[in-house]
Amino acid sequence: MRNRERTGIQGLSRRSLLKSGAGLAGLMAAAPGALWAQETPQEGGTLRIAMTADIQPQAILAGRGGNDAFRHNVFDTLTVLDGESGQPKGMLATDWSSSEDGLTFTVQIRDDVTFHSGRPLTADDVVFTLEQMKVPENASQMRPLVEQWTSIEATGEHEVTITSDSPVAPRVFDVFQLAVIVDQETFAGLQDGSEIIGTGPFRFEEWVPGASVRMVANEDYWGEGPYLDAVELNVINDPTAMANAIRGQVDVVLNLTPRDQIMFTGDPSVEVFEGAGGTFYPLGIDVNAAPFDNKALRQAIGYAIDRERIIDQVFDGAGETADVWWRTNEPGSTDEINNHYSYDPDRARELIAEAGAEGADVPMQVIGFGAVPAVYEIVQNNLRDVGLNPVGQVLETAAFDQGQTAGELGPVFMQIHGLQGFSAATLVDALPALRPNNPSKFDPPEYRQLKDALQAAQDEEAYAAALGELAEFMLDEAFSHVLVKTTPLHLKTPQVHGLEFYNVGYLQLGQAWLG
Amino acid sequence: MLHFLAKRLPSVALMLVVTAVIAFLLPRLGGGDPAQVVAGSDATAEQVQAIREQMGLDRPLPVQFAEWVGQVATGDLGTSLISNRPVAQLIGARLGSTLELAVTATALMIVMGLGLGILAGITRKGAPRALLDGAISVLLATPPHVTGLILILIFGITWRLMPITGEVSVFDDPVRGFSYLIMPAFALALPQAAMIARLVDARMAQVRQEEFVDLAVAKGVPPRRILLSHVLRNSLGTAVIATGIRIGEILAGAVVIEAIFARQGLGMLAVTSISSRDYEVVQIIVLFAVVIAVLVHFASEILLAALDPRIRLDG
Repeated sequence: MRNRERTGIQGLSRRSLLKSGAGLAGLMAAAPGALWAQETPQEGGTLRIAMTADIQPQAILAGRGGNDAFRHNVFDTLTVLDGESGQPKGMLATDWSSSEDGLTFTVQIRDDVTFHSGRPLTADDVVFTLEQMKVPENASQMRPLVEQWTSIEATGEHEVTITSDSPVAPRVFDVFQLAVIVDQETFAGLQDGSEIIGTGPFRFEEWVPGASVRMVANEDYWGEGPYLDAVELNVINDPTAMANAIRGQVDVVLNLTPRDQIMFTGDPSVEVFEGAGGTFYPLGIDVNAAPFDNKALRQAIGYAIDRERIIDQVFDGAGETADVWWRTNEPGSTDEINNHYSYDPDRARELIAEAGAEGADVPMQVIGFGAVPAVYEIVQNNLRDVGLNPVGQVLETAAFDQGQTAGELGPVFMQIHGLQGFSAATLVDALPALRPNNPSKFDPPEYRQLKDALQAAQDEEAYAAALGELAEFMLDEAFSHVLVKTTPLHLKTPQVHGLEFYNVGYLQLGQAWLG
Repeated sequence: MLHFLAKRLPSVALMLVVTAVIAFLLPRLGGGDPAQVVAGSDATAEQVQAIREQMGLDRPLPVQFAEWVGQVATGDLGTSLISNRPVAQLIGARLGSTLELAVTATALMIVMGLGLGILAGITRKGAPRALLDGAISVLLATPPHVTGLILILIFGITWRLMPITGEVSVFDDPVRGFSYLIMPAFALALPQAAMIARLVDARMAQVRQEEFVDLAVAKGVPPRRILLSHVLRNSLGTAVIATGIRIGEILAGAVVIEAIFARQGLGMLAVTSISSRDYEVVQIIVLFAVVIAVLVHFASEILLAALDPRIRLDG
């Protein structure tokens, strides 16, 4: 297996590019670590957080935006993924090992953990949780991976062994990141949120669906903290109203729009910072729909789009113009791969001429969610500029998602994906744009073989080679163009300390405190 | 009055049945799928289908409709498809917020509408008249969300006198509760008050031309008494009917105002339920809105009859 360092949790201190007002300038002069960690934590207080989406306890085993600030506070996972390196760090797991052939994976679990109900955590609970990942109704994105495992067994009171016909690690750590360990005795209570029992630093207290959630400190938490007495999550659907809530109503605002951050420029009472995780904005092309069955035309679209302009005009500079569907520092990624389709309208025109597609209509379905319609405005302008005729239709999220699930989105479509932070080996079978039955209808045998080679790679060198080969193939086939990747922007007041974001953007408040 | 209510029962019943059919069908015709919402945008077709079956959405529509009507008839408002919580509980949790906003906005609307209307009605010429006309026109033309944003900019951000988002129940803390309530209620009430003011003003001008007013003047009735007993009383019927209709507008406007001021009322519940295709919640909210509209209409008619002796409810 790949050599993974256990340094997982990503504190804001290590990554954040902070943008804020004058008050923050002084803070930025200090070492980043000092910003968030050096002061002695103070106990007490209620941390109030605003977010746009409600929690979804029935989908706690899936990656959902609404659960980002909830799942790792009421629940724990076996391991979490580091924000910068993507390497796993033990939480409920104290140790893990892989067999020589990689087909057997064994994980040791802490023996001092109790659920909020008072019942001790055992290996059976871990087995139950991992088995639940397979249940379709639980909607976990990691279901295809867990289904590949041939057995999940408790081989000791605090030991679980996973076997598979294909190597279990390293993708098992992506599964673990989503697999919050649930209490099998009260699992049914997650359906309506009437009983939410985990092992995390906070106990669930109350949920008013669509409005708010309250969690209180778990005094028997196995780890350090929590320092806060309670945490309140407030759902505010209107993004501007949510951003404004930082002016007295809440202490932290999660996922504000780039447009709304402008309101806080020069405001010393508010700090704007980038978190981990983020969003992909892919443009997909149906490789069977004429004239897009011509690879040259698909590649032309890649060269026609001015990604820098999207970042500047739509996201106010908060994002990157990478062409790959995974982290740009994933082993095997190179500058050539990450920036394969640099903006080159002349090259695009040549390829369009080569494909004989001058003036071709480009029917596009666009998800009417977040910034995608704004991104479309630039894309359609770029395509028109190189001699194509884009005809866009913005669809409501619910209707678009139906088409995405069915793999039917028309010849060209603009999607939005989360899950940023998981490994490439996992994403190629989890992201709707890339998985089997993707709406691009792209699934040739070579694609599967290259994915299999990546997923079977057991050391970093083999992984890097396999990923490079897969990336080059995918970029050449040009069935899905990642237009931009954005990182989430958050707000906090200077009184808030110790926020921790895991690699995929999940917030953990066990070490958080109010000054 | 009982006869009046009894006479209207069949039409109300018919309206509720039609509303129930529309409320049931409309969200389902809009595309999307609550199973997809629960499964998430990354879900596979198999996951969505499993959730659809779990929700019972794979059954024929007439079966689902019959089950829902049967439930509602027995007082069971159903269970949210998204949160799996009882719809009655979800509405109950939001009702207080919307009622506080609607009642405050209605009170402001009546006070400001009548006040401005009467002031305009008795100010018949000169600069004050032009000023009142201009003010009423501006208020009429400014939608609640624009008024709300202006209030936020002035009183929330520039002067920082009022909280701009969130809410506290006036029953828990009256002072803080009203501080959160006053701006959204004002924003909601102002255009509606201007409409009432315009109607009262126009009706007062019309009543002044009536013969009975001329007769009163000829008989030497004091102007103040003519204004209050003859002109104003005979002008209020219009205001009462308009107020009834405007309450409906206030409830509709609450959807936008709740979003701007981050209040968790029924309007926001309706919006999120529609976008998440939570049919069970949407259906009940639509029915609820129609019932409220019918009740307000009845109340207007009864009040109108009390004000105008020529109108008899039982006639």
